[in-house]
Amino acid sequence: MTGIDLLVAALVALLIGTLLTAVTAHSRTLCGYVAFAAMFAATLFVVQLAFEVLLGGPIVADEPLFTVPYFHAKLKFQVNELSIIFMLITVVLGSCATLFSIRYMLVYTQYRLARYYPILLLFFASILALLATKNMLLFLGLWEIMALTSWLLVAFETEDPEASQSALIYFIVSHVATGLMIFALMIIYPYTEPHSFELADLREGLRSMIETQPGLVGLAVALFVTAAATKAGILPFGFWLPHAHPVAPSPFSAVLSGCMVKMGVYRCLLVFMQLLPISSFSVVSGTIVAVLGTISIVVGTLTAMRQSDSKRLLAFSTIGQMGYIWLAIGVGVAFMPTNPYISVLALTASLFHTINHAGFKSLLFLNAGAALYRTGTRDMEKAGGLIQIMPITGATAIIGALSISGVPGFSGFTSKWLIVESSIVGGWHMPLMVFLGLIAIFVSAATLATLIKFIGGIFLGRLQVGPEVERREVPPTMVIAQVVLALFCIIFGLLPMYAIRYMYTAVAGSLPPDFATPSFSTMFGESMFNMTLGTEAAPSTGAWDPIVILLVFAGFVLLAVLIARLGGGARRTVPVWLCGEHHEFAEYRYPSHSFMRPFTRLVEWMYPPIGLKPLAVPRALLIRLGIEPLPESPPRDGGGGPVSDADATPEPSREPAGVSE
Amino acid sequence: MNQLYEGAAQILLLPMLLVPFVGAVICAMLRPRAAGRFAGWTAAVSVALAAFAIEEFVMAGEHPIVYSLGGGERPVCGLCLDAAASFMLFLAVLPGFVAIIFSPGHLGPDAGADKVGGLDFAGPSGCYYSWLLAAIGAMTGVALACNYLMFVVFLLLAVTCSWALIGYRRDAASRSAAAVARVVLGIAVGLVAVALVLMRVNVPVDSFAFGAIDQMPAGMGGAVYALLLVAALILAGQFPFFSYLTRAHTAPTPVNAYLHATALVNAGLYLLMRASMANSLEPYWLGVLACGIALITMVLCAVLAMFANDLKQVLALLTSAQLGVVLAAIGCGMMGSEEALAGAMLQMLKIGVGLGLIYLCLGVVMRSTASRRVSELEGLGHRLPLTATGFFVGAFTITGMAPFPGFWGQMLIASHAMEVGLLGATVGVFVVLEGLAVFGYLLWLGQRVFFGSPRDRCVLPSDVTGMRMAVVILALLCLLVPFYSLALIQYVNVGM
Repeated sequence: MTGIDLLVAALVALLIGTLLTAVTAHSRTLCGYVAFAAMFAATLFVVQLAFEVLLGGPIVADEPLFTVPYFHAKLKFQVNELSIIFMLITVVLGSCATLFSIRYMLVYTQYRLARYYPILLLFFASILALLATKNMLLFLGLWEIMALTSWLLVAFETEDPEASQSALIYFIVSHVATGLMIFALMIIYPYTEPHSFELADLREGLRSMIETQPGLVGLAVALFVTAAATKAGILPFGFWLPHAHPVAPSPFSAVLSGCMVKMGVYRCLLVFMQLLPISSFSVVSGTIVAVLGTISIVVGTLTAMRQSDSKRLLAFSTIGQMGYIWLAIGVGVAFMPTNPYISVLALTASLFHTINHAGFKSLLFLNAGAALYRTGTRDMEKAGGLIQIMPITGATAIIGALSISGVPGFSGFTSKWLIVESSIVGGWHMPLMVFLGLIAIFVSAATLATLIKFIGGIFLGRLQVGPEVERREVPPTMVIAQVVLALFCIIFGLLPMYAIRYMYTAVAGSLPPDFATPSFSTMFGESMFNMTLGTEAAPSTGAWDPIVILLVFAGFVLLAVLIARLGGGARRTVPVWLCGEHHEFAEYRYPSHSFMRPFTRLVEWMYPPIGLKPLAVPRALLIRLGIEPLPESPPRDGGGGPVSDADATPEPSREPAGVSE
Repeated sequence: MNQLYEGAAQILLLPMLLVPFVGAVICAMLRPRAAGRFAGWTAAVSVALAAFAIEEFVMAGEHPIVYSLGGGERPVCGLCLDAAASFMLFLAVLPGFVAIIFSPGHLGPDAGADKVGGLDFAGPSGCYYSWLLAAIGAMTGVALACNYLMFVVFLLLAVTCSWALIGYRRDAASRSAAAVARVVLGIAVGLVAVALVLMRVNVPVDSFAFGAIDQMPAGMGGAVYALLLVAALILAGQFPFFSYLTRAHTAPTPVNAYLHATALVNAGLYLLMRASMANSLEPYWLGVLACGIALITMVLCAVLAMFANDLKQVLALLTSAQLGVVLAAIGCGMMGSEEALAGAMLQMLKIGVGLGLIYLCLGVVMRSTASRRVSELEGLGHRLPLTATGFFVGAFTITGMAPFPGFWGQMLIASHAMEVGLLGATVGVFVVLEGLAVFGYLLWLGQRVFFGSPRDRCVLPSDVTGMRMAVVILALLCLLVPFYSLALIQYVNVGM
């Protein structure tokens, strides 16, 4: 089996899994294993496909799977270097999430798992299919299936009003984003010749509009970017994200943050690399994207500090991290017409940070989910010291936290470095970019502070949980899922060049053929163990070799330990000195919110209370139009409503009945 | 071979029309329970005949199939099945069948209720089914009418059935609503009749053919178009006539789902569409007027629906808002966009299945909770999972969510509306905005009614099989309609 057949096989595996999980849903554990098996099979197919695409170039299906009559829209699968990266993210996270779900979802005893696994698999199938289509009409269709399935999963706990409310906000925002895309297509479609929703035809349509209708081109690009920003959680459009992420089941929170918001990134890259011809619009829109990204970095990360709900903290942190990705995309797009070196550097960085973020943020959500599974709370004030009973979960959480904070040796460092490097190097040509890059550097420190709060609040310190909490590690399936993601964080941290090479391939393959893409060796060097650093004028001014540097660092640590041992200092454990007074531990404990009190005071002005009154149509108008009854008319159903339907005869004395459909 | 298919379809047209009327007569003589069963089977036969005829039409190619009752190729009395008629025929028979099988449970006794009362709990009377079958027959006639005259005859019959069914309960409110509807709809039929008179005076040969307006002097043709437009506005409950539709919802929910959300309300728009397709000289200003009224209706009714607390009022206003989209598309068609007309057809179909499904699902809710007030409903999803699923499928269908049926029509209108200038672009934008607004509202409504803590006060009727079947059939249709409609829409621009 080769080429597109592999993608079809992956989709078939997921669809069969959907059916089987629906059938076996009564057996809660079996259903989970079936879902994992289907997801794992899809992963194997996609990994094989990835080898073919990344080593051999894009693959296009010979025949369309089907054609939509009248619109002549063909679902003809195409997989290129860019889409395969996102497919890999999807299937790997999907496998980890389904594996984690097997035991995690058993806690939802009051809900049927027929509402979880089949929909989850359908969600992954829709993402794989949309990544492989280049027809925007079908792209929209699959996009909406993704939104629909994700809404069902966010609203999984239907009895929880918070979950319902958050799901409502999420789905409406998501659908509005789709509406924006429809508006954008409305603008471009009449200029396509022949009329078509194919990406290539739309690109030609835009090309013809650039000279004659520059205003409409700007509007269409703005609509596309806004839609992408909404899905990606970029502020101010991504306000749904902190609502939706915490209320979803934790494995799906991981998928939302690690995979679904990345579809916004994919769409943004698609617009700028394959839809909008390189022009002055690239400079303007790239700059706007970079500024939006930086705003998200600052607001998302600083807001994350204020949170005491672990998953909500991670959700805000996602906004901040997506800001980094958007900053890089913005820089890359802004320099497309003028400086291919900076452009490719920044776009490669954005893709690399995308996969890194998928790894460490999903890991952190699974860590938060594991803590929730064990303690039953998301409140960091009520947890603490869990590493003592969940050592592997605690260790992987620390790895995730170090990765997201950009600590050298972990996955986030290299990608953040490249993002900042491209911004600052770009600043020689466009000074604004230096400013944005510097902000990104400083907020990275705030990220570390935020994640220290997360780690400190949940895993470190004295054990806080009561005796009713089982004192042991979470089940093996949940542990394996976390360990796999932690390994990705370490591998991408120690050997970044393997990933960067493929990211570069994806960027170079997606840019127009006439784009003067610099060679990989010019930009990053030849070695697979160290990365050359520099500028376009002087490409080799330095190098980053994480293994060597970590070995040196480890040597120093070892030396320090040896010195301490040789010095013979005795280790003593003493109680906290309380000035001679007696206090309970809870009274002098340093809770998680205290970490951030100075910061929260500093940024308080950013969150003014806004009191909006609900909108209402004047009652007189409603009465006049016959929508509301006249005030003096007696209520017919005892509640004041105009019930006059034969089928709605009020029966106030009805007994509660257990009849259901 | 094509002639064979054409002949088969031709043979089916008259039985398709007659079966519901014959069934109506028999039902009037049967006891309620037997009448219900008989009506269900009769409607099922109508559906089967319609499906077979449409299939034969597709197999026969692009030629309209005409059954003449005298008058040769262009009969004064006759039936015609083409692509546009296929759409309307679909709306005439299938939702009618669904309404009939939904009725016994919906209007019957509660589960576990005391049945000693006998006939009091036997559900709707034979007369009810009789009127409903007659309405199906009348709407079939409207769909298959080969000219304006036949259309008016069957429309008058449909209006009479609507009057009888609105007043079915015979209380003061129902009688009043039935009278209002009778007068308002009577005016609409009268306007079409006046248009016929003008046509008869100005076109000596083949006066009532759908394409006769082209043969009239420009000013007179414009007047005929204007009369047809006003009739369509009234029937579709467009601004400023939508309050008749809100009053008409004193009728039982299955009747509303069939006549006042699907069939009768679409009849005027269907006529306008037929006129627009068959004639080439539509006045531009009429398109502008239609678009303007449609935009006002869309905005006003959608906003009012969001603030209404009575479920039936909400549904009535949503119906007007949704039909506003169809009218806007027809307006764009009158201004020159053929694709917008095709989009209008798709929209009609999605309203038929989507809104009909929402009506039935909320009918189940109202029936099982004895309440129509939005503020009193919550947590019903546990007791009514199928209804909840049906409601959301219906909501996604009518709001243009991909890949549900509304999406394709919406995309067709939105992407082609810009071809007719700034007004077209405005229409396109408003069509999408209306979809978004209604989506948000229905999602909120659905979550409010079906999500939340389980509710105890929920009593289903004793006979839920028909209700379940109705919901499942319409939900499946919502998923399947794109395949049917997109295949059929390719033949639409072939005029008579």
